[in-house]
Amino acid sequence: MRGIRISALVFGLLALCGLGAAGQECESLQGATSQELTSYLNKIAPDRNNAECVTRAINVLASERYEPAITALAKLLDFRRPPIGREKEGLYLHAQGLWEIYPAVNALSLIGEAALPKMLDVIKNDTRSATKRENAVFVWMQVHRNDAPLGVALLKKESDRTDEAAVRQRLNWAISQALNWCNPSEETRCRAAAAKGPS
Amino acid sequence: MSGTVTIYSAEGNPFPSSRITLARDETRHLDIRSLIPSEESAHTLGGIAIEFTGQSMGIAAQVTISGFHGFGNIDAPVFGDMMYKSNDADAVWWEPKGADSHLILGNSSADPVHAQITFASGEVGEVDLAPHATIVQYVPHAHQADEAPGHALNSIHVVGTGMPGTLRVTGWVSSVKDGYLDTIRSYDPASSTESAVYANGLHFSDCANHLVIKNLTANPIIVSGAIYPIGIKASAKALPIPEKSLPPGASSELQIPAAGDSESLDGAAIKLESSGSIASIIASYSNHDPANQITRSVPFKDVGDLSTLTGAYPWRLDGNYSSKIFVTNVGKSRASIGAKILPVSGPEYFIDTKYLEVGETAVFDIRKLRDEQVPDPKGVKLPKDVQLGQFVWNTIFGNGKDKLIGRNEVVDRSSGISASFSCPYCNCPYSTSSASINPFTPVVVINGVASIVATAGTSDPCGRGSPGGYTITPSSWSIYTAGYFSLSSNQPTSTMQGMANGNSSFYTPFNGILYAFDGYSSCFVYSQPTLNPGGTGCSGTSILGINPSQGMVGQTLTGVMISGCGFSTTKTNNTIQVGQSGQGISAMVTSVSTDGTTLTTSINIMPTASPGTYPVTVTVTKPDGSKITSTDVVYFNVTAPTATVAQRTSGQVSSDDAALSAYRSAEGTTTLGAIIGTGPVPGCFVGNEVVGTIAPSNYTGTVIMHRLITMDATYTNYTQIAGVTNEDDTSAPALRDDNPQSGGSAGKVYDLDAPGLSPQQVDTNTYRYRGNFYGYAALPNGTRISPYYGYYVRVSCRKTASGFQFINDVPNDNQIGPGTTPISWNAQ
Repeated sequence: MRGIRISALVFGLLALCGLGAAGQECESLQGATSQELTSYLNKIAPDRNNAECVTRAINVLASERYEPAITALAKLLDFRRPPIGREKEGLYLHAQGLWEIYPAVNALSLIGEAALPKMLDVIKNDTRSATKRENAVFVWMQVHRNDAPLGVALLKKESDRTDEAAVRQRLNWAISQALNWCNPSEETRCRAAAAKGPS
Repeated sequence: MSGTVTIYSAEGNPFPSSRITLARDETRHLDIRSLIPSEESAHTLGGIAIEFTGQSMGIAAQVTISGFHGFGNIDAPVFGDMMYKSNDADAVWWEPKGADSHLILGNSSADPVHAQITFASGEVGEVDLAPHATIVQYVPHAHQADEAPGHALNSIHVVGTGMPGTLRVTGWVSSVKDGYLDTIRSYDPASSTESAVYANGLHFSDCANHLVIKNLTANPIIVSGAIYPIGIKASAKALPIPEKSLPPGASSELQIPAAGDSESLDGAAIKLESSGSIASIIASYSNHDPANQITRSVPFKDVGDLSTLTGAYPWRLDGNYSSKIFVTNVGKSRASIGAKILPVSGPEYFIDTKYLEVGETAVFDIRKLRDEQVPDPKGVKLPKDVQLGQFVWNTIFGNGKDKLIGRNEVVDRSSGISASFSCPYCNCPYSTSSASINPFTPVVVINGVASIVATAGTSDPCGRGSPGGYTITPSSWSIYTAGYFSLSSNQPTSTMQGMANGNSSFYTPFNGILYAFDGYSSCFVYSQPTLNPGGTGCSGTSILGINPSQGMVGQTLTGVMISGCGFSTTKTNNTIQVGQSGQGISAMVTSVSTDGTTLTTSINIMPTASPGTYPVTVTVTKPDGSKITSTDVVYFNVTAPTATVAQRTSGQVSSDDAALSAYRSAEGTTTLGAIIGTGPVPGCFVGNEVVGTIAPSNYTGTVIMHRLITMDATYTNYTQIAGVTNEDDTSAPALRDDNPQSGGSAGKVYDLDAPGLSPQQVDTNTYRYRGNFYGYAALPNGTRISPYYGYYVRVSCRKTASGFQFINDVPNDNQIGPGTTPISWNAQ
């Protein structure tokens, strides 16, 4: 019991150290414009020290649905935010999906259709991070949430017209991922769309 | 309506009955002789009875015996017993020298009736009438001659036994030598309601005229009166009849005032007033044309009963017959009548409102209307060959105090027949039950004019059809907001003149009147509703209204009609503004009526628009490029839908919840309730789905389910680690389904949530959560549209080497439900 308490204390101290640095950086972003926040995200390389600050910046842009930030946010699609508040004690008030864990996913989902070209670009061309591509698929399907089969069909269409085998492979993988975001009532149509593309 | 006609012999024996069926409003002439078998034709005929089932006076008849003495005719109405108040009768008549008078006494009942007749000679006759029997009784000459030398008056007073109306008294006075034949008309004194009597349609020219009266009382009376020539427009032009004093029971002839050309009095009406009580006088007027051997007699009426405010007369134009209807205002104020002519073939002929000043008589010459093909206001003409029909008139727009008398005079000059028809029709006048103007929304351009006609609708208390649309002549107009237009009055057609851009309601003061039939023999006024026909005038460019005048946030309404005036007939020259720019409501004109009074529009209410009322204006761009914007106070109301909130805590996520897949990815399951989540953040969670049900269910706008933590606490074992109060906890869009129609939801929005614990390390601690929440539905602008739904969550969890476990060391832990929970570690 004692050992556990010590361990927790050490973790807490480390976290406080990180917060100190992040706190300073975030203070400089207080009152920043969306453009300034976008610029900040374009330049930042997320790490443990700036993670909270990056999260805050993304959340502000999300609430603004700031379309010029799409590229910057796409770059951070695989940025996983640190636990905040009582999450540090293990309390999660919301179901923890990709939109909760990856703040850029939520931001791009909120921006909506304007983010789709960039998401397609990530799906097709990002070779470094499967998480990015997976999250891009989620954003893609979130935007098409009211017509998930269409989201699948559009990926299929893109796949069909792509000559590049590697890109097609990534698109086909994306299609298989996208099927996970079809509700049961749409599954048949989603699978048909995955096979045929847009009707 | 069907009836049975029975003819009785003079002895009271019935001949075989005849069944007749009359179509609605049908008039039919029946030859009485044809109603009895030929082998019975030798019998002397007596009475006639018509039996039918239906409304009082549903069938009425009049008997005319023509060719009497070879030149004349007598007529008698066929009324029901209920029309009489007693079994007494009085009559007075002119009896030329050499003429003889006979009474006809009939018994309409199945019981014997005894009649005592007091003659003017002073003699008294006693007559016994067997059931249904008829007796002709000679009337001795009176002893007292009238002042006019060579002529005489005669009169009778009859008292009968039996029920009122069972003794019928009529008769004739004739002089074959002079070609004189007149009907003796008796009156039931008990039916009188006033001390005056009236008649109309009198003839004066080329004839010998006699106006006679009798004092029915035991006291002296003074009789005065006036003659109202046709077309008289003011009572001042009435010709006064010199006063005459009458001793008790006396009869006398009244002097008819000279009027220069006697023809000017033809068709005139007469009113005689007694200084005595009700039923103190009776009168008779006869007019004899010796050249043509025509004697015109005119019935006098007591107009105290409302039944005299209406009449229905059969008319005939066959051969040389003519039919003229006389209706006279014998009241003390202006009155108005409406009428219709019902030819046996052809459509109804409508006679619009005829206002009658005091003493004025309206004359309707059926033959003239037919032969000259005079159209009615609706363009209907009487068929050129029509010969029979009915004329129905009514007081309209009255106040129950009008006094009118009507009579139809049917004359055949070639055969010397003159008959008077004055049957009451049912016995209630039409009710005036509604009123309106046409057009309801008159439109004028500034300085332009428009015509307006006010009309009244009628209903028949007796249940027959009544024509509508009688023109009202408005005495004045009341305009709610002055300055936009003016209205003329005192003409059947009013003129509206535009003065400025705008609109206003207006009306003319006008009361209706509702009569009711007492089911027996009388009618009465039971209500005089205020009808005030009016409308809304529109001048220049103005908005009258918008329909529908409200829509919901998030809705796009098509086919919204903006009514008014002065809109451009070029669609693109009309611009509609609803509220102010930026308030989230836009409108577009999709079409405009050819008269520029209606714009059809599409109104889009953005999801961000706030509920409330928004002013509507129309800006019209004129051909010269100038613009005019309406200034009327017209509003469009933006409403919010409503929602009810419920929560699902077991089973599976709803299949129409668009966030199902997101929940599945987060928790690794679609199960609700206490679950061990296996998604990216595993742990002990309580999955729940808050459902907002929207009304109307076809609402298509966005509705967001919000959530608030009212109070909560987290514990490690028994020690509180943290807690918040009143903190927004609304889910991310991925876990919400804000579209009420997605997945075929038909008005449902969702919010999925799974609060719980994900202890980060394996230990023996129990991590607890106690939280109270409430959820509600709101529009995107934050407007709450549902009640709050309160619920609680209790979770206790431990991470073990084998995974996460719910801990149930506290009763009723790991639950979710409506209401609240204590937020202590043990939920106590």
